[in-house]
Amino acid sequence: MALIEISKVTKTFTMGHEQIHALHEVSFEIKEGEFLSIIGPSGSGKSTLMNILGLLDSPTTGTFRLDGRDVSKLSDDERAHQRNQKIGFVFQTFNLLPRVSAVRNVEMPLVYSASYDRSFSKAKIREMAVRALTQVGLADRITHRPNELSGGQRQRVAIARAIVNQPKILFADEPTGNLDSRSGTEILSLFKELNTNGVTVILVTHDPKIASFAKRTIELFDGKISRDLYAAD
Amino acid sequence: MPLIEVLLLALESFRANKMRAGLTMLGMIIGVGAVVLLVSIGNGAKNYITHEFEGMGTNLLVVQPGRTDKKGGFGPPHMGSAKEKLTIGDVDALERQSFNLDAVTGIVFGAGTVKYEDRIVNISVLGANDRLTRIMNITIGQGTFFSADIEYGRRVAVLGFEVARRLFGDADPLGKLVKINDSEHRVIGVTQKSGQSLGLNLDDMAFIPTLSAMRIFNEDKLFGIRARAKAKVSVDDAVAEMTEILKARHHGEEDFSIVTQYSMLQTMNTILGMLTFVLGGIAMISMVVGGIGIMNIMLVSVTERTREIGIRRAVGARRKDVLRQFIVEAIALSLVGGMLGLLGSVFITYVVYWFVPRFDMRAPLWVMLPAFLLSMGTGVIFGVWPARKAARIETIDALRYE
Repeated sequence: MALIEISKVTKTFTMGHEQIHALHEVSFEIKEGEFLSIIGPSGSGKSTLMNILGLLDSPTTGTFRLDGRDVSKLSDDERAHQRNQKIGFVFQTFNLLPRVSAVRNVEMPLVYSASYDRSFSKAKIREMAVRALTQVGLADRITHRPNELSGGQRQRVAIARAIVNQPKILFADEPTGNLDSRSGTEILSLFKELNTNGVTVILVTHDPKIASFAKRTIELFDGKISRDLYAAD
Repeated sequence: MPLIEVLLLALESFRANKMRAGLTMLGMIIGVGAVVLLVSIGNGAKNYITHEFEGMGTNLLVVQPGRTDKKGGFGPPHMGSAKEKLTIGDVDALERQSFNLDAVTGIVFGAGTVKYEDRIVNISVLGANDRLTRIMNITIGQGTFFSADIEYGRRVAVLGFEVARRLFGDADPLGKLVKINDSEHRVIGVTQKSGQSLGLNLDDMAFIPTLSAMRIFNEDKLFGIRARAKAKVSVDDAVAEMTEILKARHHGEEDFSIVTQYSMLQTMNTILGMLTFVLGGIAMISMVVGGIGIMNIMLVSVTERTREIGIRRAVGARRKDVLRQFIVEAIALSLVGGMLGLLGSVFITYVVYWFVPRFDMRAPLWVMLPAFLLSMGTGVIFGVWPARKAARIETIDALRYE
């Protein structure tokens, strides 16, 4: 069974009187454990696709099955719940809260998990956050605030936050866009490592060089899939 | 997300914006402080009046000429027509016939000039009989008050403590002749220093027999009658009895009114209660201003933290989690501000009490609850709109927000 299964997904935005088709009848499957990149020029619809796959947005038409369940018509609250349990996000601009420590940033998803599961005690949340930070190699930076960390370290904190609740899918939207090439490579290796441990990683980028880290590349153009390639191992 | 966690978040955001949080709270501090202070002042005035009245004894009865429309009313009686005279005869009748009264005196009151050698004082002169000491709780410091067998018209005077001091200095005033409005009176006593009581300063007065006062002021009638009911008698019974006796003497007409201490106190309390309410209401305006300050800051905060809202939503916060976070923050702001305002104003009332113990405006204990509820309510009312605005933000827009 595929982890992600979308068929004939269309997303239409209305701008004034004009209808803009950001996605047009896109269909594909992603299996659990894949390392995939979605590539395309700006305006190709890759961000829209990521928003739909990441349950930040719903498709206008078409179906989306996540983990065997139809999620294309979920309510806002249910989508928040699914995001919390199954999906992690890493953004180009890190999107950390500047005023709180690294560990408090990483704890954030778990604090919301506590609404669904009472076993998430303060102690357990702290323990999980510390473990995630250790996993990304920041065990000694737990109490640092984002402005006391380098760009690469900040992105690691963001990755720790994305994986702290052991999601099935990790989305990374231009994760190396604000990093120097060395830190960028380190971050990409970290994704590879996470993928080896079983997390499905979906990398959204416009840069073919970065996309080449993935095992499979879906290229979008004008709201449609123009290529779907598996890299030769 | 557990409430305690939401509260911690609110505190975190205050710590990040100390100045702003402080200034926002200032609005609430002033608002709640003003309400508590004004209510305390009103309450203090009420306590003061009650205390003063009680000091005079609650069994005091006042007969005024003329009929006031409302029983127990405090309004001015219409005086002056010949039919509505209260006379010394009425006083005598009450004295003789009443079973419920302890002491009765007629009252004549006016401005007087008291002269001794070359010293002159302008004071109030009160004409009464010997029972006045019992009715008004006057204590004599030197000499005696009028004796019971005194003729109403004898030209003797009892001087207030302050009057005696100003006229005689350290000399002994007893037996000396003073001129009250050019009529010679012999000083037979001086009151003990007693101070102000309900705006009447006994130290600054002179007391002379009723008839003597009527002569000086050229009056053929009394200003009123003061009486004291016996200790074990109900004031209502005393009023009924007095009414009977006086009506019989006034051709069956009730052309006078009897005001009891208790009814005066009640009227006063009603007025002061109303005043407290009105003052508190005016002070509420400042609470509204404080609330608007909170709303303003919360709106700014929502805009500033659009990104944060996006991140929180992306990692699993529901709209209601965001709503709750911002409402709790608004309530925390208003509640902390309100409680500081409460503490501050309570402190002020105690300081005032410490300096002016006569006026006990210490904040009553019960203001705590309304102060708490008011501040919380302000937070809810003025926090809802910004919080709803925050909750309505779309996640993808918020994540892209610069």
